[in-house]
Amino acid sequence: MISNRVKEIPFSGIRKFFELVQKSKDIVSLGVGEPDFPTPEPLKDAGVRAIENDFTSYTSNYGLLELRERIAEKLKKKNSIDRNPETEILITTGVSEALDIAIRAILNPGDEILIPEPSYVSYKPCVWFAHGNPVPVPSKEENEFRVLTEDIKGRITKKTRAIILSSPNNPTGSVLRKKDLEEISDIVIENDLIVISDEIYEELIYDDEKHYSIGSFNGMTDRTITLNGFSKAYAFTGWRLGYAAGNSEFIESMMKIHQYTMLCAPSVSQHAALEAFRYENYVGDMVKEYDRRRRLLVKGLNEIPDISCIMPKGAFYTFPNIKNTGIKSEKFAERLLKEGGVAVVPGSTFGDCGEGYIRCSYSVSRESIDEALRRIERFMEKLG
Amino acid sequence: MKEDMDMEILKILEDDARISLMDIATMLKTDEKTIENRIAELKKIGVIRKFKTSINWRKTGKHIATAVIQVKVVPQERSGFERICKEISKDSRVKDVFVATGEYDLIIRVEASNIDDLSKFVTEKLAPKKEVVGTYTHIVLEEYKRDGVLSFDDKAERLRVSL
Repeated sequence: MISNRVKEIPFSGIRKFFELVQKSKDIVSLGVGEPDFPTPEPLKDAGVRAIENDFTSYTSNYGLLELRERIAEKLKKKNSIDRNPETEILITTGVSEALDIAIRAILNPGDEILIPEPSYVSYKPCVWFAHGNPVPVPSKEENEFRVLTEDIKGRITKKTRAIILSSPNNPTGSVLRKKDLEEISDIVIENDLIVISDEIYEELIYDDEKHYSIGSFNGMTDRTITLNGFSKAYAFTGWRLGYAAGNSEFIESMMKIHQYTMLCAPSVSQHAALEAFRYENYVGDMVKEYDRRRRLLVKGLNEIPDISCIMPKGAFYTFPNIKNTGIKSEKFAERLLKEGGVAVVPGSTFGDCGEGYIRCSYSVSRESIDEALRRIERFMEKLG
Repeated sequence: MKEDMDMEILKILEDDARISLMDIATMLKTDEKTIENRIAELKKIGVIRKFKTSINWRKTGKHIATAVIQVKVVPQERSGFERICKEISKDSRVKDVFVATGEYDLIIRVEASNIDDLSKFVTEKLAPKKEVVGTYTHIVLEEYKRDGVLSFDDKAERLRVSL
């Protein structure tokens, strides 16, 4: 009854583990992948007002023009990307949808897409659903999980169509530097590729690192589809709102899929998101708090024998190394949950090169970080 | 720079008075000694008044009669409301004292052990003061939030794990 394509795609192994986490009692979770702040009041209020004023019908397929205009202004100011709000920006149901339709818009069956790993879990399946072949490009801890250009080069074939970049990265928290992106741009141009740049964690960046959008680089304007949204910067995950920006050829092609499958992004969420552009300070306070928690968690992890953790530069994840325990990351996570009462995500979930690592989120209260560290330490002592 | 750090320390302590010096130092990229000195200084100059705990007494079964009382006062020459406000503040049952705009001059919050005690406070202590010309007592029926802390369990929960 089920298509071969869907049958071929393995059930996410992590689902069983997640069910176990949901059922477990008295656990502390460092497994969360969303902000632990509530949506800012002005955005909540704007959502309620939108409902009360009957802004509850479909919007243009592209999304509210006013919202696209705000996004175009933001892209220009923050990202040095020039996009026409009428034809080059598409509002989507989260970055998830934008990712899916971007891949479907550019891929022919059998085409290859390079995916630097460890990576967010949706990239590969989206490529499979589009009858393409994902090609992982491993990144390494010693390079702070920033993908190396020689590793990209070595995997380019005649069938390579695109590369998916995500910086700041989930799950490693790595941030690609300007130089990294310049080198990647050169390869992309040389090999006539497309970049899908997932920049959802753009605002969550620490120390002296800066976020650069590859879509603004020389020669990249017509080769880049920039994806972003409101979920991470505005604690807006459940509202499901993202956007894609690219030249009109990309956007109109994505629009073809979007108009028949999604019709439009949730209208209430679009109205609420308009408020986001007036409350940029909110993000700054949140980033400060994430930064404090980042320091607490990284320091605490490094004080535990057999765990080592590099200081991540973005997002709200740490990706500590557990190779010294000699236990596979999936088994480690399972035992840590059952024996230690702490939920983390095994690194192998994010690609083969994530083996030997776990993802610990600091999008949790300081009390939870402290308690989780105490429990992990006790668990590690018992492990011997 | 020092002021920036003080503000950061205060924000952290406002949220959690029991946090260790070490944790504050880690979060602010400095050492424990610096934090200890800054906090001592903030206490000395009176910015930090006290470290307290937010308690929901109702859950312990202990009953408290809480009232918000508006007070009309005749301001005194030269001292204005100051003398009467300080005098009221000294009563241990009085938890907040504000001078405010509006029909009444002061708004105070009182926590008495029971309604008789509350009544005594108003009729025998507050109302008879010579500067006080009127009181308007609101007895609190329910409490939902106090000092920025919810008094009920929040039902809005995130997924424990998500990718």
